[in-house]
Amino acid sequence: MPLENHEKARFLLHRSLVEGISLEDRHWLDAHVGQCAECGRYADLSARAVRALDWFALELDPAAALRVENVVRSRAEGMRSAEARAKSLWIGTAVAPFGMAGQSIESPQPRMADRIRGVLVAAIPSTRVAAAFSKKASGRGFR
Amino acid sequence: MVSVVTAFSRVAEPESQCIARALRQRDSEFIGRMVSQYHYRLLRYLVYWTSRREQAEDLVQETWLRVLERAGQYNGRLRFEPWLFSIARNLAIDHLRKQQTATARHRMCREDEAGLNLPAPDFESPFLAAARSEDAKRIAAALGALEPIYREALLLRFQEELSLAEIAQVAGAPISTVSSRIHRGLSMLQASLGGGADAA
Repeated sequence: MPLENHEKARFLLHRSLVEGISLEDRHWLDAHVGQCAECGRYADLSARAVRALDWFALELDPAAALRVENVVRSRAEGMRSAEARAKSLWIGTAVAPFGMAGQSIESPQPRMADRIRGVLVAAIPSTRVAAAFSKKASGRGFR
Repeated sequence: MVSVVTAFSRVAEPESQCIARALRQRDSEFIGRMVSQYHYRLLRYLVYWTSRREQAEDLVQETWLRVLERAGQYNGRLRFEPWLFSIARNLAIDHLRKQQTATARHRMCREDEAGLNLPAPDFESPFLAAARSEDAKRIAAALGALEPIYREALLLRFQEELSLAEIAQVAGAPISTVSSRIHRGLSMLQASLGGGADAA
C-alpha cells in the first residue's frame, strides 16, 4: 500500500474529528481503515483520546456555586437600582429647564415685582415709588 | 390579541436573545439561573486554563461580574457561550500574567538571597484528581504538560462542541490556527496513550 495512503488516512482521521469530512472522504477512509491494521490502530487511539477527555468530571461544591450565584444576583440588583436612580435623575435634569421656563413666563413676574417693591419701599418708604406701586397694585397704574 | 402575540414572540425568542435581554434589564432571577446553569462548564474551562481549582473558582465569580459590567456588548445575535468563554479567557490570561510576574519577582528575590530555585508547586493537578481510569490518568498527565492554549482548544472542540469559528471567536485567533492547535493537542494526547507515531 503506498505511503501516501497512510498519510492521507491520518490527515482525514484528524480532520474528521476536528472539522468533519465529505461523504466521499468518509467512504475512502472507512475502506482504508478496514484494510490497514496500522491506520486502524491510529483511528482507535484518536477515538480513545477524545473519549478520555470526557472522563474528567470535576466535583462541584454546591456551597461555592451558591455563593457565586448570590454575589452575582446581588450585584445585578444593585446595578439595576443604581441605573433606575440614574435614569430618574437624568429625566429630572432634562425636564427641569422646561419647568423653570414656564415659571418665568407666568408666576415669577408678580413675585419679582413684589420683591422690587419691597426693596424700594424699604429703602425710600415715603417716595412716589411706593405710592406708584400701591396704585399699580390697586389697578390704577402709573401716571 | 396583542398580549397573545407578545407571549408568542417571547416563546419563539431564541435563547441568546432572552439572555441578552435579561442581562440588559439586570434580571437577577434569570441571571442567577444562568450562573447556576453554566457554573460547571465555566469552572471546567477555567481549570483547563489555570490548572488550579481554587483560582478557577475565584475567576468564575469575576467572570460573571465582568459579564454584568459588559452586558451592553452582548446583543444576542451570536451564541452566548463563546462570548462568556472569551470573557473568562481574558480574565484567566490576566491572572496568569500577574502570577508569572509575581513568581519571577519572587524567584529573583530568592535567588539573590540564597541562590536557590523555588520548590515545585505543592498542589495536586486537578486533571489527575479527576482522572478515574488508567487512560484518563495518562491523558491527565499529558494535559498537565500541554500549554493552556492547546488544552483550551481541545476542551472547546470536544467537550463544549463549539464550531471552529466559535473557538476562533473565543481565542481571538484565525480558524487555521485553532485547527492546528486542536491537531497538535490531539497528537500529544494520542502519544500519551501509546500512539506517538505522529506526535509532535
